[in-house]
Amino acid sequence: MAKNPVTAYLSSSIGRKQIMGLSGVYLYFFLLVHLAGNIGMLSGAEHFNSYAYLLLHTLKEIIYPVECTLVAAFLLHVYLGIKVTIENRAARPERYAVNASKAKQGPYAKYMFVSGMWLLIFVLVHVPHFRMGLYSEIGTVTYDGVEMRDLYGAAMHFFAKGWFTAFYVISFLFLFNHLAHGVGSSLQSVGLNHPRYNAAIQFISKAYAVVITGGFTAIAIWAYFQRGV
Amino acid sequence: MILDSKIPPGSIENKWTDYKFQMKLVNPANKRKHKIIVVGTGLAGASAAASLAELGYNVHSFTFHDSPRRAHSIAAQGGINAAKNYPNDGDSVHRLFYDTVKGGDFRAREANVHRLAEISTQIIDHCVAQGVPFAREYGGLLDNRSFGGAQVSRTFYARGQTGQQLLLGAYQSLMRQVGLGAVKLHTRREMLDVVVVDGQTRGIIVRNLVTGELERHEADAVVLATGGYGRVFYLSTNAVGCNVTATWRAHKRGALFANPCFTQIHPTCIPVTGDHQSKLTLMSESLRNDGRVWVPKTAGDKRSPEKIPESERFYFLEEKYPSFGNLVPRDVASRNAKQVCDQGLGVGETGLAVYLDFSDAIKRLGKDKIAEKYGNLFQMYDKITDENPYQVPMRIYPAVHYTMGGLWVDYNLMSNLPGLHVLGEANFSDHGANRLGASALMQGLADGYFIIPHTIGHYLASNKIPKVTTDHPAFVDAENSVKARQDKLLAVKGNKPAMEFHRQLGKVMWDYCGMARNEAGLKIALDEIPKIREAFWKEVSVTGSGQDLNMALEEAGRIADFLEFGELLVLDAYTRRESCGGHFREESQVGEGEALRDDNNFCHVAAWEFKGVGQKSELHKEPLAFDNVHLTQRSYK
Amino acid sequence: MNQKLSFLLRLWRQKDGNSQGKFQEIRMKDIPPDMSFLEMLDEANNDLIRKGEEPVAFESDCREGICGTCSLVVNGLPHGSDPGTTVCQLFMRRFNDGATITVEPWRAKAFPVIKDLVTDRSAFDQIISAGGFVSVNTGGAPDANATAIRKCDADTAMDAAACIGCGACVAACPNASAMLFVSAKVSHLGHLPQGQPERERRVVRMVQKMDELGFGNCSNRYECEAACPKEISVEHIARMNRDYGFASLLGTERERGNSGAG
Repeated sequence: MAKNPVTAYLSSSIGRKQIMGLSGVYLYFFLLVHLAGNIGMLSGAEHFNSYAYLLLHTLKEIIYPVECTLVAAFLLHVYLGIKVTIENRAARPERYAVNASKAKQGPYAKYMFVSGMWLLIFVLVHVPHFRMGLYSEIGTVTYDGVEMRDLYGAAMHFFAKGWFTAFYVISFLFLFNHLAHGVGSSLQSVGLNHPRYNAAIQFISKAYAVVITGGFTAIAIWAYFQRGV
Repeated sequence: MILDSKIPPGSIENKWTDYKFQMKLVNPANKRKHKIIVVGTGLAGASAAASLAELGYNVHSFTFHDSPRRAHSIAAQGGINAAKNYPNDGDSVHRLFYDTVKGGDFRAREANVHRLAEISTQIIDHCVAQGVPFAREYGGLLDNRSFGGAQVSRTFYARGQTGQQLLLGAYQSLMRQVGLGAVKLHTRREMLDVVVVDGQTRGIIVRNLVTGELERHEADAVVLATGGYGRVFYLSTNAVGCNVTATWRAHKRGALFANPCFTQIHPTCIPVTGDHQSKLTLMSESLRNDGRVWVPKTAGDKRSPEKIPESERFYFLEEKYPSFGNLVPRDVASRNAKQVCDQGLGVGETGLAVYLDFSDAIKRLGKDKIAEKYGNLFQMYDKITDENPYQVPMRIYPAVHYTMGGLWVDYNLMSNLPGLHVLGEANFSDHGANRLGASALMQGLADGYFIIPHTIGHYLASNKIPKVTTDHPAFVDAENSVKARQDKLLAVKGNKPAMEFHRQLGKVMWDYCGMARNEAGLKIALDEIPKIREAFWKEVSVTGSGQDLNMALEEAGRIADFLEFGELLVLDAYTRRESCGGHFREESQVGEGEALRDDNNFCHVAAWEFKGVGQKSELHKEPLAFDNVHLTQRSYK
Repeated sequence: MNQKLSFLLRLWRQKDGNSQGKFQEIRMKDIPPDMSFLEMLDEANNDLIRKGEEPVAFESDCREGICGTCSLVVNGLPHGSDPGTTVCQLFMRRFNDGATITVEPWRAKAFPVIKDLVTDRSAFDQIISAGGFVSVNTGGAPDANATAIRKCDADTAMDAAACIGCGACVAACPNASAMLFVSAKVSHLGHLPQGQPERERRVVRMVQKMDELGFGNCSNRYECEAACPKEISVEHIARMNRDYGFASLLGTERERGNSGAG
């Protein structure tokens, strides 16, 4: 019985939920940074490729450890999400014959697992592709005598394909769903709920989801329409 | 049989204090060796079980509910009295004592009532320490309100859910002891018999309601806290599960039943709408703080209430009782409502209702203040009647609510069966012929928290209690008789649901032994009840078996007991040829329907001894003496 | 209002916890609109008894919305569609004439079915037993007015304490989580000075017990709040989350004490 309180916390329903929420918040902030970087695509190949080179080459002593924490947060988030969902299903072995809902919450909460699973697949496609160059060789370009990966070219090449852009846009819709519930929900999980601020929290949560997913979607669609340019 | 109330000597103020010193104690190390059974987990039962376990006794707690928190104490709305005198309005222990004796129409024991008044203040202290969220003022101190039968504000409350909060306090204390292993909790067990071994009450027989198994439990002492018998009237404000079974079975084993005819008819309930109803809903007496009771002055006035001008309204309580107004005691308010309805002044479709009007209070205090005080009650009324009481006056009518009668107990709360203690509504002790509002919670908790922990120790320390096992023939006999009765119910195989007989019984009880009683009517009832009982045992249909959860069997068993008990209630009412409190005998009145007590002949507790079903019970009288409150005709004018 | 209604009831029948259940269809006619839902079930049962069949087991007691005994899922909603209402306070005037009404028990691993519509909710008692109390023995309490309590704190404590322990929150939660029930008690006592000495220990122990008993995890869907007949707010869940985090990670309660009984 005499469990270390921290170990007990990590295995408790509330503890895990809070870790899930906090890892989610961390990933959301990453998305904001990622989006800011991607907007650079709009200013052309040289700018974007140089930015990527700066991050992954010049600043690699900083960025690699950060990437490791992102991977850890992501894996933890996915692991807990799946584990908690399995437990939740088990908590109601016999389902209701009639299902109905009274809650005033939007529909987003209902699709957290589905959207999460889709996003997992998305990440398994996206990261190996653009970060690791696994599925196809990413070419190189040289600016001012410095050779670097042509991520801009690779992106343009792939977004020119309609099905690829469509996959991304659908994934962003799931991301919207995940964020729209997740941001506010993670705050509730760590105990930030106050009637005076709840409306604001809900608004910011939705607005954040709109900005992030809107931004990524706009870039993907922009890239699609750049084909042949 | 001589009924020894064991009231200690000395002045009324010092009796309890002195007696606490006189009582024998059980050594702390020996307490664990004493097993005590507590049946019932309402205010009295839960508080007793928790307090006894805190002292170190080995307590076994039984409830027929799925959880101790379901007991019907939970439904008490208005509040709990205590002589704290926080509002500085002249309250004192003596005044609470005086009000309660007078409110009970001089049919309670002075010594018991004084003890209750003394303990009242400790109850509030203890409940606040438990975290009961009583209503507070902005300054952070406790708020009080007024209740019927008192001219001071001494009622503590937690919105309209005081009973719930007090019960949860007791329940939490009980569950704490369960967690500590000091109380063994037995839920879904219905007590069906007490076991008497060599003159001492040594155990109970219960039915496990899930498996149907009959279980024997032995102990050094048994505490019954199983509530009242209001459901003998079928329609009442009681929960549908409330029953007389535990106390009735104890009565059949020899415990005397005292004053069964003292039943309280609560003035402010939602009126009956049709035959299908399973229960009536109470609207807290606290509503009479701000609501004004009235009917139209002309019989048959069918105008809607807002169309009736002030000059054509009859505020009958305010006019007849100017000093107490709408806050007269319950029996007085109920009887007056009945009278105006009998005169044809009643309102609503059935004509059996009076208005309880908040429009003046809403004008004076604003809707928000009223909502804060009574919001949940207004909402409940709206749900049930589909009418909004903020806009139209409530319609109310009296309904059976509480039973002052119960098993006879002495000052130690022990019945005439040694070892069998009875607490709360199940005993007869403190309220006399009428209970004042907000006193039931006080009594249940006084019995459980502050009286039984002392007196049961005295019993255990001063009696030799030999070891018994559940193999003892008395246990075998008791279990067999329970089994036989259950088999008999299952064997009738008629075609009528038990509920039909319950409704018939209830109608007889209400018509002939309700708010007003007379000799001719009571005779009819004494005739009718055995007939219904006979028909029950020929025609009832109890489906299923005794081997699993069988609610039809449970219900039929309880109704069978009501069919026996109802006869005793009527017999008591028949024998008491006086009006007092909740018992209004039409032959005994003065002026316009004011109750007339007969102290020469009836200043006693009527304690009945069981002589067999259908046999006339034997009456034993415990005379009542009033040395501290002068015996007078009550007046609230 | 005198028009009578008729309904098709689909009632869940299940012999015991180990048996498979199924729906039984019963037609009800001539139901007055001001009859309560449970009174209609009483009538259905009386009809069954007259036919010599076993009535449907369902629980109720006070029938005024305070004891928490009644526990029916009506057309997929615990306690039915009315907000802030127990099923015993649900009236037939709220249904359309001719409607089909499906009645199921609470469904949760932690609330196993005993028979038909009756479930075992003793898990709630175990959670209270783990810490849902103030450890004070009878006698020795200071004067009730010795400690002033801010009115808003007393009021919030009362909001939480209004919980009737019916389990509708668990029944409504897509994950059968008991968070609203547990948080109501944690928050009730946590808002009062009397609850402070045990505040850390209480939340840790109650959550631990809740987790042990097979309830699901909270996913902030707020179905509990919507189903709660006492309309208890999910704010209390947030508060418990906060208390639990602090108590577990930064709490000063001695670790040995965390595991000791009582």
